[in-house]
Amino acid sequence: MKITADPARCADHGMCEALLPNVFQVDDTGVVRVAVEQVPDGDIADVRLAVDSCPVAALRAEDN
Amino acid sequence: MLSITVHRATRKIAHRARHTIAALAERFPSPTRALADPPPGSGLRPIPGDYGLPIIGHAIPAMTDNLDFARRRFTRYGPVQWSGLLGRRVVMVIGPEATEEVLTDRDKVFSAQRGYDFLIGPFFHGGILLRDFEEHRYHRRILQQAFTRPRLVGYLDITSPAIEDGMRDWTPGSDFELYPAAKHLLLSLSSKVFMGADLGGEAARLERAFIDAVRGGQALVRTNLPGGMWARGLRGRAVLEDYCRRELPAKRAGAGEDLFSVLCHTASTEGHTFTDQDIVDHLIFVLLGAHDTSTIALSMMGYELGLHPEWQERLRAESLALGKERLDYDDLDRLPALDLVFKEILRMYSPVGQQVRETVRDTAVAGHFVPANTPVIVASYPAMRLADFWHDPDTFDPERFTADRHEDKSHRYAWAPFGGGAHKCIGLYFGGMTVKAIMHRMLLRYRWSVPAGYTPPMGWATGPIPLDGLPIHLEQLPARTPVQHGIGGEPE
Repeated sequence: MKITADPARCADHGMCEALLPNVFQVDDTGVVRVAVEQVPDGDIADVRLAVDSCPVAALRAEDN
Repeated sequence: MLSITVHRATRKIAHRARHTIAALAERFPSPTRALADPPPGSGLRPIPGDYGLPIIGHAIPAMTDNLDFARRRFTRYGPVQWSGLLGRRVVMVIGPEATEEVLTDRDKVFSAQRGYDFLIGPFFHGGILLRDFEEHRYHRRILQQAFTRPRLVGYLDITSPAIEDGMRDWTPGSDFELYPAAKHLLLSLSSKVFMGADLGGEAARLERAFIDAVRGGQALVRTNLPGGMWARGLRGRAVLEDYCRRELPAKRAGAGEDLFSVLCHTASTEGHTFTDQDIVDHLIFVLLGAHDTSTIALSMMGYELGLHPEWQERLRAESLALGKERLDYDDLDRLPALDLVFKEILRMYSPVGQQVRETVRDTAVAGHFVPANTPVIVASYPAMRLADFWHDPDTFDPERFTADRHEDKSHRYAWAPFGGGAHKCIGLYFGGMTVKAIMHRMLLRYRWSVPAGYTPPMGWATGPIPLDGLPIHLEQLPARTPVQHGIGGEPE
């Protein structure tokens, strides 16, 4: 699974980071960064939840 | 009218008396001591502070005069210090770096459950904030399903008509008390969005029960004395729990879009679901999280917009230009000035004024030694009102949040009204959406003002609250159809 984050849409709400701090990291400028190349299998369900929970739809997850 | 005047005068006198007592209490000689000696060789510094009055410590200024109290402590001791508070020695941290350390909690040493148990445990046990670490994560993953984007859209659909209903009994006049009106409106809104019910005859009883449960946590006498705030709080909790349990079977059987129904049917991706007790616990806590906080945000926004007509007009023009009475979910992106004001209100009057934790092991914060079993308060409200981190911090200046000035971007935790880390407010967007939807309608329907120079006396609940009901001069605007983009020309 590959995650992409749209920095133009990201509004620093940090719901993704609260759920998966090792995968999503929001920097001081308030823009999310995806910290992993590939999502570990154990986190796939949580990544989908984080994507659905972004209030401004800034995240996408695609299966490889 | 006379009784309102007398009532307000009484509140003003009570407010002054509290401040006088707080000021006197602060003059009690209390020597500066280290909270605890750091282990030799640890390189950590001791935390400075003082106990204050015997037993109650600094509880009176901390609860009645929170902002000035925290600023004085910051000036005297720096970003990490301790105070006596109701029999305990409590560490307070102020400022982005220490806040980040405590809230992100990389070593899993700061327990929210133990921190909040002391304050609100008997009234709000089982709530998401009163759970820790792995157990918290388990619950958060299920609860999060009730706060996904599609769910928020569903809640907004219930919210809009409920706002129209709730505002129907607003009577414009020169002495409209915004704070109780906002509290009442948000409670009727909560009953529809969270409970999926028009509470009808039960509304007043449940409103009372809820207010008592919230106040229970603010009792100075923290034991179950008959007639005391604590006892009333426990009774309030029992009434709420009883109501939820009675409704539960119907909610489990139904397919409603309200939060109660959603919690009944929500499951994590592994299929974990909430028990009946979990649902009741989460629901009562979400009410607390949503209701008082949104009330503070909405009423203080009303106050600042009443004091700053240029901002009120700017927001009204923006709302009119949107061309509709009810906000759709995507419209929230189309009200940038309203968003600036919302952020500024949360900075100035952070509705959750502090985050509370307790250490489960010895640890360190900003190079200071914190022993195990120490309550730690993150003073987020005062931190957003310090000149060290904000330009002219007591001035209402929403443009400090624009992309050009971005004062909030000096540090990830400079603007942190929703907390952070694993416990970051799950309803942050929900809360903003609710307050904005109400304000949008208020701007289209009314114009309001407060006397120049008027400052409400402030007290303390989950955060700062106005004590005088926040009287505004509320005037009905002539009915007009909001202008559609591109076809109606300029608004006004």
